[in-house]
Amino acid sequence: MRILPLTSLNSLRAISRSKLSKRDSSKVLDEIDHSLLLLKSEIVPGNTQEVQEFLEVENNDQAIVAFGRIVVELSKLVHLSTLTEIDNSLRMDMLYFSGNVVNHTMDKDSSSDHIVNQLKQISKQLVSVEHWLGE
Amino acid sequence: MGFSWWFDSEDVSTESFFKFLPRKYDPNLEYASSSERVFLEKKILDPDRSNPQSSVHSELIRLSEKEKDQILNSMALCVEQCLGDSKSFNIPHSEELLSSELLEILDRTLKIRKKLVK
Repeated sequence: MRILPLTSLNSLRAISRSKLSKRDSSKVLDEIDHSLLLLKSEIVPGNTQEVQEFLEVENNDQAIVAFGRIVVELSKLVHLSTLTEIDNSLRMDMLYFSGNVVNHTMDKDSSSDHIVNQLKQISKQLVSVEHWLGE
Repeated sequence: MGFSWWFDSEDVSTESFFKFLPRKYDPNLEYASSSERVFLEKKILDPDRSNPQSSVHSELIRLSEKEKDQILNSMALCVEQCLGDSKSFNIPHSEELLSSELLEILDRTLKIRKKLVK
């Protein structure tokens, strides 16, 4: 099963390198650098323990609680996946504009593993609610 | 369950519910506390509780969705700070960023929501 998206989105670029002066290129690289630093502070895998505690769903009370947890954990996962993918795309763009690999890399493997694991846990909890609802 | 009166709309879309990008940060969004939600969870799951009340259920869902909105609003803020003022970069669409498996789970969650609040 493929969990992480293939890079269908290779770039966030709205401009081409060939149309930029050296000075403008440098400005774009500063923008990317600034964005990557911001993203690094936001991309924090973890603090998503609740769905790890699987809740067996056998009644309405448990279904409501499980649903609430799923909604919160999914929003954390959307947050993390979105910013991780933007980070990846910006790195591709930095490579395009500078020809250099960027510094201050985040722990990509840790983030990807976390996304895969969380998605599995949430999926398991979701199936339990679906079964209880008779789906 | 009889608490569909507060339910946004039966036709709420996945894109709207999960605040897909591109989207503006909402500076006026009300703060949501996870401790309040966890407290209600314990109350609902307490085996000694006498009568299940639909008002407690609806409050738990409301708090969970408020927390979701806050998390996704902070995502919108970060994206805006990274790319919002840039003439060099476009803010991407969430559909381009999220895996097909995650998108499918988001859809299924919305289907469950419709059934639970009926």
